[in-house]
Amino acid sequence: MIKFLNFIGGFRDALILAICLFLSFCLIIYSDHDPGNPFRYLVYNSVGLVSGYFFKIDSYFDLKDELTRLHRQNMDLAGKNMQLQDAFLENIRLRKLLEFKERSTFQLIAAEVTGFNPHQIFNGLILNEGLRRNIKKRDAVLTAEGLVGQIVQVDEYNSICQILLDRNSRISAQIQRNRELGVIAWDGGVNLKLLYVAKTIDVLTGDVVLTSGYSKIFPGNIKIGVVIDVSKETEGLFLDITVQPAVNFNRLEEVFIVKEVPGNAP
Amino acid sequence: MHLDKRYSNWRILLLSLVAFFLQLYFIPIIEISVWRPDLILLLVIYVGLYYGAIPGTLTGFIIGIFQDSVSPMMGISSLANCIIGFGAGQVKQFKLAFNARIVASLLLILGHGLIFYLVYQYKSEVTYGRLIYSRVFPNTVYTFILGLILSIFFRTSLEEK
Repeated sequence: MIKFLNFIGGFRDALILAICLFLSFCLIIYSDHDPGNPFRYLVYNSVGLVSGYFFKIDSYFDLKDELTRLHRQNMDLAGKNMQLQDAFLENIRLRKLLEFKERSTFQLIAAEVTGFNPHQIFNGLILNEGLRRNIKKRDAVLTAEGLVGQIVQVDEYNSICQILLDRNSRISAQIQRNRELGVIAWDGGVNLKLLYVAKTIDVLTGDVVLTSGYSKIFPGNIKIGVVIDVSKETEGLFLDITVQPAVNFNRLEEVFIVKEVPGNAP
Repeated sequence: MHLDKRYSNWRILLLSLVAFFLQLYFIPIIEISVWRPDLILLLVIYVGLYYGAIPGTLTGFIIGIFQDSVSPMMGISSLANCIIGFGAGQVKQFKLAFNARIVASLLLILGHGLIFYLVYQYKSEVTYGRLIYSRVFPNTVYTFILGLILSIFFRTSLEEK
């Protein structure tokens, strides 16, 4: 036995080579593309684990260029993102207006606010619709949120809208809850006053104020605002009622001009 | 003696790992067209020439399997590597001078290419002749040049052995 082992030991190198060759041939013959092979899986995973670090090291060579490129891309994408956000918000606004127009019983003409009136006489908006669309003085202007004002000046392509926050603005209004009538006027700041409501009338904070419909200019039941303060501590017969406008006049971009009020046409 | 042998085994293992990952991630960077040097082959030849036939054969076989496992064909690299590791181990017996070992290395590199592509041709549609002049010769030259560069850097340590 020992002699046999010694004999084999003499060919140890060749024997190991033969075993390795045999195994290699077996691998060549039997393991053609075996993705499920656990050994392959193990090696792939190990290589993948190490490769993460190697790729990181590889990127150091052109890190500066990569950073510059990413900065540019970032700026480009930020610009595009802003445009998209604008488009998104515009889309929401227009959808809201469209829904309002569809459910409204008035004949409405859409107009864009192109600027604020430069005159000091009244607070107004410049709209991009005029005589060509049959816009006339005293046409009411509103949005989905509520009443904006009325047209006070018009030319072929533009018109000027006097908003509620103007010292000459007076609008017949009523409180939704108890149908009490009053007149809406500017308070000189960012809110409105509901005038001529007697102290005996029950007015609460949160009451909604609407157009009365008794005007030939404004259709009825258009929201004007919400009562935010009621005070009886005044001289005279009337309450001091402060109303917050339903419309944010600083953020107006699109409005509707009312062309025809059913049953109340001028 | 046992400590030396154990140290050698760890050294070979460490070198194998380094060579394997360098072959995967560094060598592709210096690839010219489809020609790339074979760092693993250089390691196998080194092990065969300086440690003997059995370490050369086993190193070639084992590292070849790992090499094959990340390539489409299993068994080809292990086959070619173990033959070259064995061949290098046989060359060691002649106790050649350093320069003669360099020449022997060139022949072993060429032999590796011939064996590898001899098997490879059966799994590809390219003829053996075309593989020899398009792959074997350029790769042999490129691998030999890399081997020369490495031998210049490690000449002192190689001559001591």
